[in-house]
Amino acid sequence: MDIDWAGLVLQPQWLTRLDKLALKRFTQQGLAEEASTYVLDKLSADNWACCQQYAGNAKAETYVLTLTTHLLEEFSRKRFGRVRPPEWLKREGELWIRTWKMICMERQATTSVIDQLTNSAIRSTEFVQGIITIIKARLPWCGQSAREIPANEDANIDNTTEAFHSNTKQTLETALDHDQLEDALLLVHQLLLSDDCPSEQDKDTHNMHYTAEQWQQLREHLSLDEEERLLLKMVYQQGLKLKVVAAALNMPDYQPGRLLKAIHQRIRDSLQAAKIQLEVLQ
Amino acid sequence: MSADMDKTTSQQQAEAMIALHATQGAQQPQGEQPSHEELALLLDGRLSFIRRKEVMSHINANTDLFSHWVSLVEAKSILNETTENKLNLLQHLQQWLNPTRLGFIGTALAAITTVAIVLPLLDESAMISPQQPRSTPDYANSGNMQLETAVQEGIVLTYINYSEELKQALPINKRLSKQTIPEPSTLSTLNPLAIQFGETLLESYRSCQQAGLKSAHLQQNKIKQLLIALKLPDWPEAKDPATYCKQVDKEINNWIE
Repeated sequence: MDIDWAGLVLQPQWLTRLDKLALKRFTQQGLAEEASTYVLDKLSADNWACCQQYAGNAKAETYVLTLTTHLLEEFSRKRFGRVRPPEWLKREGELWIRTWKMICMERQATTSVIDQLTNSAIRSTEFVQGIITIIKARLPWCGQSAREIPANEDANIDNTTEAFHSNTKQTLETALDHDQLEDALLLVHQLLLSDDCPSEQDKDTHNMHYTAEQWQQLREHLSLDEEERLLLKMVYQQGLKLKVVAAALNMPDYQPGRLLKAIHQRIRDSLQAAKIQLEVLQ
Repeated sequence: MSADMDKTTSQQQAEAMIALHATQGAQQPQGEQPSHEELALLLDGRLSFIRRKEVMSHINANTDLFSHWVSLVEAKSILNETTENKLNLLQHLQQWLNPTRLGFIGTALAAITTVAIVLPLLDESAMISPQQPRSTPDYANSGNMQLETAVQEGIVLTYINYSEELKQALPINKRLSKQTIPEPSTLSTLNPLAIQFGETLLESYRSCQQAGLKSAHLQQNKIKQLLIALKLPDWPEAKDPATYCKQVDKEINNWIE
């Protein structure tokens, strides 16, 4: 596909967008400029080699946006390293990991993290504030030591798909045993009750002990297709507003709300069938 | 956790989290790992139904890919917001400028114009104080500023609009890509000098190509010669081509690696 990538990327409008995205991502002007330059360097390297995989199916602008967001994160990894977050944090979802990274690794101020993550009103301030509170309560060392860890050879844009592949096996859970059931329910418990001062002590005090059989029943009774899972993750794990989710999944604005209503009804039916009552949590 | 999160409740949040954990790993990702272009296609809503499901299955199963997807969604939202804000401003302006207000503004403008034209005619001498001569623009300083701006805009304009061949001739400069680049909407209103400069650069490049001269230095000399020959309208510095070209030369050296 013959596209004038230099003309597209170096046009003032796109450069302004790039600067804006970098500034939103890294807050500090100097770091944002460094990130912008990194993206431009990577995109234009070897006569725009990384753009050459473009087959002409997507809009060129969206394609460049995809590469740009990827490269901004790649810059962050190279600048701050790639340290594995605690297991409990990983189970909470991607937004928690991202928040942890911003607060604990990149040592950004709480206000600027909230500002970034609630940009354009894509999610509520309270949602992000709640996550930060829990992370800081559980990880008191968070953000206290300077960490500038140059990454090694990983994360080259040319082997992006390989990088994605390498993590697939690690992130897929083949089954949930009894202990995992405990974890999952503990997670919900913390979500609902422990906003003020969550801690590991909650494990000892919570009163939700369900059997593995009940959990298995729930798994057998409940099924979600890929779109439904993605919808739930974007709305509840990421805290994205329904309007943003609708735009991302190319739905009418009213559609995510309707889908969620139907999904919740099915979840409630499945919970009922497994004799799991969430009402006790309220 | 958040009462106003699109009217979702803690109960729904808990149900969703339970459901996500209960169904995690129930299905393996389907099809090929999505490429960057397929993520772009998903965002634009241009994937086929089957492939859409497959790509979603990978996004759900792979935390890195999911993270990338969310970043992409957020970036789109941030960029769209800017456009929407501009549109909203225009819409507000349109609403504000209703026929009644337009009539009023028209009358006011007509009155102001009349006063501005008639008053100087009535007493021109009274408008100029003998103690305070009519101020003249600082051509020396403004000329330098104009030159700098024009040269920079001219190079940028050339980069953007003129010729792919010239883009290759002048290597990408980080400063150039990050500074003093005008918005596309302002390109048509650029300083005429900048446009002339851009055209000259291109012409110069072609001449050098025809003559088999490829080095940036030789191009600069050629540009300088062409600039000397250039007649610059109504610009004081144009009477001094040597100064002009010296400045241009300096600017080009600054900009071209």
